[in-house]
Amino acid sequence: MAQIVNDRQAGPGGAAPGRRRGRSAPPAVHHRGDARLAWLLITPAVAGFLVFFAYPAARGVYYSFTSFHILVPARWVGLANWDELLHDGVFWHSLGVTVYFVALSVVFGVLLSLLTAVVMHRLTRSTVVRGLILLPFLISGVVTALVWQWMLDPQLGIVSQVIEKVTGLHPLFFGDGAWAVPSLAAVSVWKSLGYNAVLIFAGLGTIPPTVYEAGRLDGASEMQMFRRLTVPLLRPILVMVVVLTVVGSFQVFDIVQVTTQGGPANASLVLQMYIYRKGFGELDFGYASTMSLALFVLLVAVTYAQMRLARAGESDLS
Amino acid sequence: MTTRLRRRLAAAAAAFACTAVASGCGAGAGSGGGTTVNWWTWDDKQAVAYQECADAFEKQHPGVTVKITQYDSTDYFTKLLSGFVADTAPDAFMNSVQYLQQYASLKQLMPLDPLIRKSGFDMSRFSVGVNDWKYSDGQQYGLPMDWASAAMYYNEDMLRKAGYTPADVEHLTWNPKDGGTFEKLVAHLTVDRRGVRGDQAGFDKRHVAVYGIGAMGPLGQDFNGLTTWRPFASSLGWRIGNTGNWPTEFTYDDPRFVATMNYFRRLTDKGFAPTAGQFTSAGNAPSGSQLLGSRKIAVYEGGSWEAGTLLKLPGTKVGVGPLVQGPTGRRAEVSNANGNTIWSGTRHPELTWEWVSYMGSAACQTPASRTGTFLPSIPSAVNSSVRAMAGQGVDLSVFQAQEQGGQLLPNIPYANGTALQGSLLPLLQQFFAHDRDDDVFPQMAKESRKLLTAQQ
Amino acid sequence: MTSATTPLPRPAAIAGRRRRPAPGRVLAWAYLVVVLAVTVFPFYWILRTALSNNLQLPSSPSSLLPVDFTWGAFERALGLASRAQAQAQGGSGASLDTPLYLRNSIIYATVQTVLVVSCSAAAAYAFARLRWRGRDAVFNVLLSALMVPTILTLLPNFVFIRDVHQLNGFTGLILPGAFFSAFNVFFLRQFMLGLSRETEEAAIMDGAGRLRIFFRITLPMSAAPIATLSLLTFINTWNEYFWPLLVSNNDHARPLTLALGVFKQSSPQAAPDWAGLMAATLIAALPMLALFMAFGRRIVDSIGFTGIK
Repeated sequence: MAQIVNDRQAGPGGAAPGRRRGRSAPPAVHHRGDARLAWLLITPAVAGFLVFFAYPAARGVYYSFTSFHILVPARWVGLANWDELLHDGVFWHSLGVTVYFVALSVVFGVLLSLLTAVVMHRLTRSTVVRGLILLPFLISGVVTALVWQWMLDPQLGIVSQVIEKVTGLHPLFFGDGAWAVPSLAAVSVWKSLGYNAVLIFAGLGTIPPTVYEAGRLDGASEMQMFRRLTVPLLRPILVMVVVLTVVGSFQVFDIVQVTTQGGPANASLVLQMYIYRKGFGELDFGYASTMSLALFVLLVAVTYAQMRLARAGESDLS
Repeated sequence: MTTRLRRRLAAAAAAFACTAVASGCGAGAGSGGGTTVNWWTWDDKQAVAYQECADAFEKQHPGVTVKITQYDSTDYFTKLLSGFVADTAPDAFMNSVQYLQQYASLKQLMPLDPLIRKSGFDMSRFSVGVNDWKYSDGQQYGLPMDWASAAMYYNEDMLRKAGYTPADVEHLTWNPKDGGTFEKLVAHLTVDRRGVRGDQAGFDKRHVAVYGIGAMGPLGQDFNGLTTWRPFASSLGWRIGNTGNWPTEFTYDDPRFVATMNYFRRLTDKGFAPTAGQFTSAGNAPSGSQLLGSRKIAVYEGGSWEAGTLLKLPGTKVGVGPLVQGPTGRRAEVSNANGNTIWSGTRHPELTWEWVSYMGSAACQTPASRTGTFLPSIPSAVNSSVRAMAGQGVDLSVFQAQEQGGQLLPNIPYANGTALQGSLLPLLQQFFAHDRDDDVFPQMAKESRKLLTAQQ
Repeated sequence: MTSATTPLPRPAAIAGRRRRPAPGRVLAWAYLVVVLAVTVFPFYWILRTALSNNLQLPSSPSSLLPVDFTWGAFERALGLASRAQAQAQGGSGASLDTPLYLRNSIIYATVQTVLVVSCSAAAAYAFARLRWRGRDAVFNVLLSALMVPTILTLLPNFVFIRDVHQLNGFTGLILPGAFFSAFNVFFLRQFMLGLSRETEEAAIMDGAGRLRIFFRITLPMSAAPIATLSLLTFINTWNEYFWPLLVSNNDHARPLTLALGVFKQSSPQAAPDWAGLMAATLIAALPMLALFMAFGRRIVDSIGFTGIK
């Protein structure tokens, strides 16, 4: 992720060494005590990282090679957990469920955010509108899930009531195997839409008007300008929104835990839910660690792929 | 941000952190040298009910404080686990049979036999649930606190409008072939959107306005069917375990079980009962007050703990009747008994035992159960509970009759409950969703064999 | 962000026909109204449910107004209702010391925010404005924390907090997130990278040390993103659930969000106290909403920062 913004940030005073060398003769003296001060300044952060991320992650790696039921000492079992993982149909199923959820959240989340941002940008600069749209961001995932569970309740929920009155259909949302994941994705999109839209909105504000004027002079239609100018210029911000949504969606847990708990018939058993069930439910922390590591590897791979993609699309204002 | 502001903020932060540490430690040490016994429950109503006992206990034991804490059931066992790990678990806590093996095998529960012997505690005072709390090592790990069973709650107006009387509900018969008088009642109580009853020609099962009975498949996280199919299957003589306590297999491939499951799936297909998801999201079981209160369900098989709420439901007159009689004329209901267990890491084993044994006495159970939110394990307390609730217009005699009529089957303890739930529940749900057919039952039996005998 | 206030040139197609609203524009307004309605309606519904009598809710599920209006749910959530009163309206009768939990949440979120934002700002400065060997490597390693699934570190962290005996107070609650947040460091570094060097170099000419520059120049210039980050951190900490669930065993350090869990379904198949739950939800969200009322524009504008800088 660093690279995405890093590369385009190499503007004035940026980190790109080549550019800096090009500026007025580099006063090496300025950076003489830098290293010592730098280490001093990053000490708290590095300490926090080592103690609360690196060390526990290393413990997690160790646990993945053990049978560990938390209250009794871990017992080394070699690759047994990894072998179990390969043959665990439920794991692969839940991986599929997670990918489905991520795909829905990202596609609909990003498209709707983009559309909303563009519409807001065209229609109004009212802070009130942007403020209202941001409301869901203020409440927690647990609360979001509870509220939507209540509104989507098949009998008492207002949404179900309205749908039934208008269409005569009786959708079950969380209770229907086919609809459980889309419902969860919709809730997740609802929560993040405003935040992402405001992000993109800000990005739209940085596009210089001259770009559009030039486009208009060339006789481009509005749709063409959106496709040829707006989207490419917004790309860095869109990439950031996509990356954050992907990383976040892969780790979805609280809304699932509150609403479906993975059901019905494991239809919404996302990876984190399955890991939680194995770990905190069955106390099988060895296997839970194994799955967490698999998820970590997956996230690194996905993020790396996205970084490549982002770099490939570096067009920006140059 | 100026340096000064920054410094001030840092100072404030430090001050906060220090008070935090101080207050944390202060509270941990206990206040004023007295002793605190911590007791946890997941049931909000019982937390309130037992506060009376706590007050009385404190009066008898000057300097002792009993602190009752409640967490909702999804957080409760996570919280207990973190307490075990962190050495901060409560001295004693309400526990579910499903967790007996897990906690006992991890040595988190204190065996009660020495304490029972030493204090001359009479276990025979409990009429239900004592054996549910014996672990496979033969030791007693919990005192039964309450027992729960099921009954048929019905909307009395709907019943009368359909030409039935409460007396008819008292003698419902059932068999897995044609459903007996139970199905006749349920079919007749089902009404579609145009007012056609389930047993009349032209009934539209796609648009049902009132279901004869609530969902009978697996509800919420319940794979035991305690308030759905289990009493029906049990009335055929089916028992879940191949042995008594600590079974090595759940006999899901037994033809009686298979027939019961198929029966309820057919009943749902006919439109007489809703599917599980129709009244709630997948993770949670629907509540009786929601079902009967919405007037979309005529009969609801519900738990004894719901009686107080349901029979006092505003705007809807609810009656209660016994469970169905099987082909042999017998009723059978599994009674689930929660237990009171002591944490092995408690600092005050003697005092905690005093509290736990006090909770297991008629002196505590009688006032606590007067709230009508649970049925105590001590018969004399049940009597007073039934009397007290009758005064409020709530008739609990159905449950008392179950106990006295010997219809109660113990809920046998078994190993690896959480793993079983995780593996069996989806299979059952698949069956009821028509994703699988009878081939699911041998698989369930096989899974149960694997998990019941697995070593942790 | 200043550019956001300059009026945007509208494409000629729309600007030219401003008198007769173009169908596209009408459609766009309609879309915006729908989005706003979908966003805001659940909040109204929370309020409507919270003002209803819990036992009466099933009887008129689609009534737009509170069913059998009562303040009872709020009284329950604030711990003001008597047990009998609460139970008569379908509540549990459990009592709640809301002011205490509110205080706890404020302490927890404030301390956490101040600590982690300070530490992140210091680190970000080192990564953005100082030149030293291994800088990018260290930065990338720290960033990898973004991808570590929470569940992997949860248990070891919990055991660590136990081992240092900090399970009963705020320290254990705050410690794991006090010094380091990958997102915060990343975000501030990106901003600081974009700062102009001129002022800084002038200060160096005047003989100012690096640390002095950090405090006197870089920090004041980063005030806006730091404020943003503080708000984001505060909101996120306020809404935290799982870590406090594991760690806080003591009423004196239990945050509000956790304490209000009493209103979640308590036992399987017991009727949830929807009204109480929604009232509790609203009370927990109220400080956030107040914050939002006070700093609405600031929050909205500054969230933009997270994207463009």
